[in-house]
Amino acid sequence: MSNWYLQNGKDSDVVISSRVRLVRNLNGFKFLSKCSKEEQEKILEKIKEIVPSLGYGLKYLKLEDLDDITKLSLVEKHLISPEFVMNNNAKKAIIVNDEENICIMLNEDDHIKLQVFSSGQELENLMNLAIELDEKIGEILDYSYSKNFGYLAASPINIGTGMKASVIVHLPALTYTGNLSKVLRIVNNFGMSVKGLYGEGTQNQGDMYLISNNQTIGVNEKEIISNVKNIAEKVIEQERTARKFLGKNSLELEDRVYRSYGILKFASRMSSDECKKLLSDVKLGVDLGIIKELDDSKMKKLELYTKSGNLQKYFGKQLEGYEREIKRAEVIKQIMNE
Amino acid sequence: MCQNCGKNEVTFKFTQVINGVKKEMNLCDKCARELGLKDMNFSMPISFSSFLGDFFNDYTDNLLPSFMGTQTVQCKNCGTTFDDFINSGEFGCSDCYDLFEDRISPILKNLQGANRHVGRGYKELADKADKEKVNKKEVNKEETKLEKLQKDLQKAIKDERYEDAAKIRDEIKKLDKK
Repeated sequence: MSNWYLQNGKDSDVVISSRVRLVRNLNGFKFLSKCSKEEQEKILEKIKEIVPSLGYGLKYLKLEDLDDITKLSLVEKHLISPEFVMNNNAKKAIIVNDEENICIMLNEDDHIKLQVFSSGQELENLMNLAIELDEKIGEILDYSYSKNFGYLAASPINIGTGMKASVIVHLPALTYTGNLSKVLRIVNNFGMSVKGLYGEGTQNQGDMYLISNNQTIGVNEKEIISNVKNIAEKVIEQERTARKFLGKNSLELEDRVYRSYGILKFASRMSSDECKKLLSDVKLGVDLGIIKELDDSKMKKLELYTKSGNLQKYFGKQLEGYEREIKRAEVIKQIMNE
Repeated sequence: MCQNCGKNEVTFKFTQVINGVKKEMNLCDKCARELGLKDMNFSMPISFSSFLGDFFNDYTDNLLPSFMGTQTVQCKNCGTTFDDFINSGEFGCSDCYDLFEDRISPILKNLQGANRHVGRGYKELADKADKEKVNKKEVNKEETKLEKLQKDLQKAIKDERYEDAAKIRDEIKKLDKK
């Protein structure tokens, strides 16, 4: 079985992946910023002990034992946050399985950040999985909880359910047709947060956006899921409408996606930024059935292995900037010719 | 070729102007990093509290002046004051939420649009928390009893009813021992 980020899920012409996240803290310990290094270690030890009882083939890994390329590759798969790797202020660890659909960050901003992932739009199933794991952990360990404020966290922006649900969507057609800002504004009006995955606004490469709920208290888990799901569905609908419109002028669109395909396929050197832009065009071409030379599974591989960390993982060695650009072009050819 | 090592391809151009003298260097990735020129990442300490600090202050200054007098209250468990929270945007431990409950509630309303948890409960602990709260209330009752006795004591001394005062003093001693 291949990992979720190489699979295709529901509505995967627009939705790349879904994630559900729960923030939890252990009762009897202070929040992370007030914990000494010894207390941080104690928290890790306590959680480490219960890992076998969680099932799902979960493994405990200390962050300091992972090499830089592995850490970068995990950030690129969105399994851990860049801040988790960069801020060296605490003793940290992750609990992850081979499928990598479950990844729990320990001592990030809070003691526990439980995350579950899936390709496509799968928020409801993810919520059930997250709650199942949460109940297993909460049964053995004591969480910080208050009746009024729910599950407590260092920052009040995360208290209550402690839950954030998010989807990553690919919106090239809304971008080309100049409708993106309109859609994003409306999404914001519904109390959702939406941001470019690779840079903000016009700097966003690859036309990828992350939509998630802001509110964590005063709503229950099911409401959060259905709110994010509803908004995502509307965005999907708008993107598909825009794609239909683009399809009317098929020569223009065909020219655009095949130009990008051509550069991607035949270039001898490929920067990360250029690659993201080209892949966005090519993905649109594949999703609309214009580019028949590639399928979904190859697209997923291209998206993963052209990212710097995973590129180095693919070749199994450290590569400097210029070398990476050459190897990136090489891996693209390899995957395309598979 | 890289001006520093003379081996690798140039991928990094460095231009420096000092006192009107322009200096240019063509370097490879490795040398640029070794010379400390490539690390342009500057992480500014920006967090949600950098934006909300003033907002919280406005809150305490204008809307709820009664807070001003009580800002020195400190969490017994972790030492966090409400000012600390305003500066960092984070509380130090779960006790802070109990201690600053009255002040967090309006802020939560603004921040999240709500201040009551309606999601999944954490049963066993919720019960425990309730019991603890009841206990705390009893503690409060004892405190008020103590305060009342102290007032009585002062009154007795003032009225020169020294026998009564001695009795009250003994009672206070008993309560303190508890």
